[in-house]
Amino acid sequence: MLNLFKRIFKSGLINFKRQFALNSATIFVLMVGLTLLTSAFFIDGLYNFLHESVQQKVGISVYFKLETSTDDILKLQQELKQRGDIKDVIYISKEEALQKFKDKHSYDDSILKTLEIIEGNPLPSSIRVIAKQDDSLIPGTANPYDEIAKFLKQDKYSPIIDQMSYYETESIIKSLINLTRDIKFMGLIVAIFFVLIVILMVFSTVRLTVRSFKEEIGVMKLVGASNWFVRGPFMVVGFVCGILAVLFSLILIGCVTYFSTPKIMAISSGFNPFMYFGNNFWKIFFMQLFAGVGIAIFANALAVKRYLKV
Amino acid sequence: MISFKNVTKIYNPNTLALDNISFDIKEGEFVLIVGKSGAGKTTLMKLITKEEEPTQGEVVVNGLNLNIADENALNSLRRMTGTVFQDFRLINHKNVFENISYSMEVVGADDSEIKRDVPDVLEMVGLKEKFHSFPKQLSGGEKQRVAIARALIHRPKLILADEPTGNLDVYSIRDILDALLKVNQMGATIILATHNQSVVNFLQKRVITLENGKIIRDQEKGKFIL
Repeated sequence: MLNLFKRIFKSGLINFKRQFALNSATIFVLMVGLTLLTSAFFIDGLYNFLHESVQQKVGISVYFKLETSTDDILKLQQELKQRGDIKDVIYISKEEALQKFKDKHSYDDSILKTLEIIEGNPLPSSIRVIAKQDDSLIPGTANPYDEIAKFLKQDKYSPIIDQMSYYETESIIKSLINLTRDIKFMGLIVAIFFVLIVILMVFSTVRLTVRSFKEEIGVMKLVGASNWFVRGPFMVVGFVCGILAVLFSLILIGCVTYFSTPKIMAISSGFNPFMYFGNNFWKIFFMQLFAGVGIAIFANALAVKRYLKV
Repeated sequence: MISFKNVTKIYNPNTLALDNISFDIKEGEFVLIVGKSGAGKTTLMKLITKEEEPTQGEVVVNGLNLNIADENALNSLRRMTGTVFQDFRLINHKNVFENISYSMEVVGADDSEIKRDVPDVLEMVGLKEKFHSFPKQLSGGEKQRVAIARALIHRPKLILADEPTGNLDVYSIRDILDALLKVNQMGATIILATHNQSVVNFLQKRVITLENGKIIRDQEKGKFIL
């Protein structure tokens, strides 16, 4: 059995070397396909980055009446935290709010002077409520902020809550959430499309390559070779093509992400594709290896199958 | 060893290649199949390896009814058969050594056996210098000799040779026929299809004559009759 595997592997490697021109077409198509497939992975990365950025920006800011006690605020904070749909509730005291305001307007003397004239702290305490990540892929599903806003709008909280910023920025929040959902939805569609394209391209190329061996496969069968003994070397060729396609694809992706990073960072508010590639290198490598080698081996086995009936 | 029972082969749409033929070949026999081009010689050979299937009737080889033979049984039958195809059918991406050793690899021969036997058989067919040549670098006669070497290398029990001398010179024909006679004396069954009169007359073996797909003569120690 070991001898059989050795012969199949050796024969496959020799065939690969001798038919390099034909096999290089398969490698090229596979490399393009894997690169397209990986670009869908990058779209997903971009989505996650934007989604996180949006999540950091969205949220409901609740401003309390000046006379509201810290205990009441902390009690509400606890009640909110007990809800299942809330990721975090950040309390900003009057003092912190004043300090932030001063820091923000440190360059504007007139505002700072006005604060001195007013005497005391005119800024209210507030809390910032951030909902749990919304993973729904289908646009138009329930928005968690609607529910949270409804909760805060209850009569029992009206004596302590002065205003909520959610209503002011509601349309922006909704459009940002919908945008990130749309990107993920598109990413999924693009990924499925690329997978289909890759499979079709590789199968067509391999089929054409194997077709040129149609008569030779027939001869192999007529001298008594088993189906696996005929099929094996073609699968080894697929394996080698898959490995090389993965290597070339990774080099290509590395170069493209390296040189495009400044532009992509500028238009995506900070998404660094080269760093993302580096951080996810092994994930991408194994995904490509599994897809590239798997498809190439399977395509070869399938293409040979139709000529085995001799 | 081989039994044809009322075998008819019709190629689509209406080409009758063999017309209800029946005959038996015993183990160890040397049988010549003769006839004009298109008489059905090659079709008959193809039916023995199940490269073609009969339209009617049945072919039994070494006790195996080819109409119902499964994949494994058919592979085993082909491994004990050495076939010289009329059109050589060498594997183009393999060199001479690899083409011949492939038959041995298929039957599971060791590497040491392959290294020992392939040079011997190449010497026998006069191609020792063409070890690393590819089929496209060989002449018609050289290809034919490689095909003969491939058919003989694994010491098959049955040898099917379809016009094996068609591209050979007189001296080479004699060498090949001597080799086939020797293999036959060692017990192999040989079926040789030819339209070469001198080959038939030289061998003095059983001759089955085909004409328009029918057997018109079956003679022990026959001669070529026009």
